Amino acid sequence: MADDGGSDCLERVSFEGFFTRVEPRLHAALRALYGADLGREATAEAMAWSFEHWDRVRTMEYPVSFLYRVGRTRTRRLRRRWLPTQVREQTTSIPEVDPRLAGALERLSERQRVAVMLVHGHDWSQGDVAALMGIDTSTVATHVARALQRLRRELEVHT
Amino acid sequence: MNEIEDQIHRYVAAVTRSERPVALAEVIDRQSRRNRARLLTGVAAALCAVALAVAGFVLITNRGSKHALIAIAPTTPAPSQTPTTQAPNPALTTGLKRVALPGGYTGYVPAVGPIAISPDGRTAYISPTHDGVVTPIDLRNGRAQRPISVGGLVQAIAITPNGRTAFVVEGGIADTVVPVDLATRTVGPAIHVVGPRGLGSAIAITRDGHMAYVSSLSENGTRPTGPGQATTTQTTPSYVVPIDLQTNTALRPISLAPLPDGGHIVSSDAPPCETNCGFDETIGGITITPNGSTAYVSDTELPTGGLFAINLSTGHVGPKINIGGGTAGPVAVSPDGRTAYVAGDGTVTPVDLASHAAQPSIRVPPVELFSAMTITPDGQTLVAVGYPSIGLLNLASREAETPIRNPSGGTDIAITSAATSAVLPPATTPSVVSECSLPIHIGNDATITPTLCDNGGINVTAWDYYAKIYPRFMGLGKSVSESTVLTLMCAEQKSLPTMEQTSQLTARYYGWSFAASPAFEQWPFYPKPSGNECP
Repeated sequence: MADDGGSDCLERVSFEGFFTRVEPRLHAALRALYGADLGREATAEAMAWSFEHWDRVRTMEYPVSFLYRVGRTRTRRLRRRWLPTQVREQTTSIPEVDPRLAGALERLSERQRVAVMLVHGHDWSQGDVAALMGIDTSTVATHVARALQRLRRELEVHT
Repeated sequence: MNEIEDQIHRYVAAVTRSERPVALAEVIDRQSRRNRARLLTGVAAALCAVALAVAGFVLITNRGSKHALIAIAPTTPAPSQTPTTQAPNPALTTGLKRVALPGGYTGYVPAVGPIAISPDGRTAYISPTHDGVVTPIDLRNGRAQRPISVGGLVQAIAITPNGRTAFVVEGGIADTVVPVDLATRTVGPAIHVVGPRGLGSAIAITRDGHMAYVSSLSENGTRPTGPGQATTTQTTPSYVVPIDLQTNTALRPISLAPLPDGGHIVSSDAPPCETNCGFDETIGGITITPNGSTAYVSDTELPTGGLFAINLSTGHVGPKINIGGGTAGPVAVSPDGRTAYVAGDGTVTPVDLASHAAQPSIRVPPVELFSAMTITPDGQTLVAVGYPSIGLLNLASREAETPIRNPSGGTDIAITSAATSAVLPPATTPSVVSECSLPIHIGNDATITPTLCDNGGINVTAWDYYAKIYPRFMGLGKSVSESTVLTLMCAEQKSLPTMEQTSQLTARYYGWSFAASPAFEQWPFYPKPSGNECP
């Protein structure tokens, strides 16, 4: 019995280590997708799912990508009318950030928003974003370029 | 103002700083609440973690090294996030994936959002973004047509059997169902739904096209128990909202759970929620039996899901049919009306509709999370769309068949009713041989296997792979001369092996009669018109 208990302890602590590593990246991706509140909810749902299915999740090569989809699927249940307001954050108090930026980000397509926020907000590589979304790296580059182009146009930023 | 990239960085940093991360204890608690059996494990885990932390602290204290803690609390190696080389995404330009299904049917799977296909199989209607538009896709060439603006957030789309009208469930501010005349692209007056304050993502239309049934959301929060009375926290269950499509009016919702008066027809609105308002989509799917008598609705009531039968003549709701195995997701009924299939957590549960008895659950590997499910018109195959791929279940043997690779995921599926070969762009005519969708393996020389089906048909996945590399060549069509083909092969080839595979695949698709000629077979060493060999 002692062995069983010890083994279970180690399994759970392993999940703790996994959680520490994965939660920030997953949270960043789902926050970019849904905004603060719904993104946090989706992250919690996905991590709860991974806890329940730890035997499977622990062997995954790309758990963030998988859990990103879990978070999306689980938040289908939530009220979709929240989406437009969830993405918008209060930006008036952030120095050197155009207050219109949040609204402009909100008007991007989901993939454009996630790609540009992860690449330029969290310093993810385009390959990381491609692995997350299950798309080509070149497609990510296109999303980022178009997002930047649209943001520049909306915020009247000239390069 | 700074460069836009710098502004994004500052903005994201500020938002991240102001946000509360998800805590491990919260995750364990969340899961434990869902499944009480997990509670003890969660508590044990927490106790174990504390015990090990204490032990680690003791070791650290004793040894003065953090390595001691790492040694006693091993963790799984950090999962690599290094990207892999992604195979070309076999998708139409609209993000719509086409898959060849057993029986000669063709399925269409959007990467995001709902889909419906016109009864003639020519046009798909999708809504891949949350911007209130429905985009028609010409399935003959995969091209998107001018979007139709319906307003709000498109949650579901269904088309009447006569193909004249699409009904779009709009789950935005208005909570309406919007009719769209597909011939004129005219958006009709929105149908306002009384009762629930949120519509879900399930809709089903009866075969006679007279009625539609739409799911609503469950609403929880604090609200008054009555006019002028004290508030209480309560949950309004999910409803099914009947819509008369002849008058385009919503009828009184049907509650799956019995109401206080013992009935199921919702006769009055619940008081509006005041605080802590939230919504939950508990209905996983709605399907109607072929004879139109009964709607089957899957609904999640934790910890087990259930299936409800609604008599569409009387509105009577039968007792919950327990399917077990966690949440209740999409539901489909076999064409003979004898069996319903309810997706749950990683499995599909058949339910005998004569006895309403659930049968043993079946896995449809590799699908673990079900987004949508349908059955081919011949009743032979159940198609499950979800993550990480598309699963196929032979309903006769109840054994899973080779899954269809779908790296971009999928949220919905619609299949063309005609058992004919589809047009595979860049071709503009259907294949002269059958099609299948098999996963491909990409070799070091960029060639792939398999390019053909077991019966010699076209592997659609292989076709889509090469369509991105040799679109001009693969669009040559049936009526083309051998010399034109050979000349273009010389001009277009990226590599000899890939060009050879492409030519063989394309020749089989169009049924080129010269495919067995010596010149074609000996390419690239055939004599060109100038007398020189192909360089």
